[in-house]
Amino acid sequence: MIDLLPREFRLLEYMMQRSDQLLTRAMLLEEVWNYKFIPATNLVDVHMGRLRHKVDGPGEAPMIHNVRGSGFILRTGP
Amino acid sequence: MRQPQFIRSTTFRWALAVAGVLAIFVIVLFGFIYWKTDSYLIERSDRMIARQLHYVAALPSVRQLDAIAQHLEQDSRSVQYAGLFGPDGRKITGNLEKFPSDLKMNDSVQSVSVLRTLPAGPQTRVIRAIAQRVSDGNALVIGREVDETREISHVVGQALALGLLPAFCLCLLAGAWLSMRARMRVEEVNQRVQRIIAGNLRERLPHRNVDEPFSKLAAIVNGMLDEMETMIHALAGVGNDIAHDLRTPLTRARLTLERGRTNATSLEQLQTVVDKAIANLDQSLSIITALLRLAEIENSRRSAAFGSVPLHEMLREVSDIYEPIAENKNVDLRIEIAHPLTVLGDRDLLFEAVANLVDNAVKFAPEGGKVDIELIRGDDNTIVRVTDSGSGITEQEREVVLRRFYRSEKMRSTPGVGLGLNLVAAIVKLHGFRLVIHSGPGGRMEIICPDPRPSRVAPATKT
Repeated sequence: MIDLLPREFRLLEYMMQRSDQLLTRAMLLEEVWNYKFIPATNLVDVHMGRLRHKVDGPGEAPMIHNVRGSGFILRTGP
Repeated sequence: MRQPQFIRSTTFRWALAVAGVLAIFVIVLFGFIYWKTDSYLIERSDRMIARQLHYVAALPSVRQLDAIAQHLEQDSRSVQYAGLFGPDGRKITGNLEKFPSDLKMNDSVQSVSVLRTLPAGPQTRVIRAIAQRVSDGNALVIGREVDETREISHVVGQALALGLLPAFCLCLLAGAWLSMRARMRVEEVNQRVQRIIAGNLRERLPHRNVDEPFSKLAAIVNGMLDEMETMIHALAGVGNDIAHDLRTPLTRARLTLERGRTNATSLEQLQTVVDKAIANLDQSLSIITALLRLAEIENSRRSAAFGSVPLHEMLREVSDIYEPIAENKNVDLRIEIAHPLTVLGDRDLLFEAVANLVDNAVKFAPEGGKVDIELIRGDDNTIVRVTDSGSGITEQEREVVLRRFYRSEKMRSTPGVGLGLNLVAAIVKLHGFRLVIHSGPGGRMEIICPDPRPSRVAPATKT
């Protein structure tokens, strides 16, 4: 049982709908939050950090991966 | 052929019209003077005649003949008439052959015509005369020629009319001269403007510091040229800024790649190098994208997508997004919504504007500070207010802060491109709202959305 805030849930839902696909920060910003302007702050990283903290508990194999320089990916399989 | 040109000019036509009106007025005036003079002279003459008549009539009859004779003797110009006639109409004395037929007895002075014998021959004259029945039943007539007074009036009239012609010509000449002068000034201005168009922005229109319309116009145009020059220089400056800000990350990317190519030994090292290069390229791309967005907004291509935007919901979304970031800095992000309020606009654009303001606020707030997002009602407007407990914007910075690529010195180290406030300003302007930046301790920015006027036309539908 994981407690998610609405925005975190939206993010997770989006990633699950596109599992195993590489999602860039720009895509996430635009599609999850309707934020088309590319900001300088690490918005996505911060949100993603929270989500990962809640979803990828300690001792479990992490599902959300950071692809360096590109974005994030939600892997369902090993 | 210059002549028809200046005759056709407005100034000349005006001068012609004025001259015409002047002429008519003068003629009417002179006519009036003529008539008045004429009346006065006749009236004066009439009074003299009447006085003479009463004088003679009052004399005893024996003295009357002498009086008449004396009266006629004193008449050097042969303008006086006098006559005494018996009850039967027979002439007793005087220079009138017979009693004028249409002369009424015991009445006022009238115009009658008499026959006068002159050396040149008999002539009919119109005179002013008065008759009275005296003692013994005689009829006494005293009269005076009217032509003489008419002559005086004629002379006066002529003299005045002679003055009219020069006045008229003078008016026309003045009109012609004014017209040519105006033409010359316009030509002068045209020359200057041509030089300005050709690129010499420094030129200004000449104007004497005289309080005349042309000079005022020149001053206004000069003001406009000053503004234009400032804007063009600003644009040129921005062009430089853009080029610089684009080039820096690209240069870094290139350097990184070059160095990596030479120095990297393992795949991992190469991957690191590539990551760094991509990051720098991303930065350049983001600048370009932002610029294109700005251009798009400023060209108002999005004004067709206006709809009803529930601000309260939008602000909650914005605060949702930035809450984690604020938390990381221990910044207390609070949102205060008095009532649910809606404005007319583009939801996405407004979202970006507010997000930008909040982004700035969170960035500028110190560790442990706070940021407030408020939605309140003013007098016939709706206000979105973002405040932060940072140091705020100084009075001087307020002006500059809206320029593209301006970044406050304090923020040079943080990532960012400096297009934020410029974007906000563009979006606010597109909506017809107002952006107010407060100076002084603490940052405070407000987007003021005036209520639409009741007679507003419905927004265009999406294309």
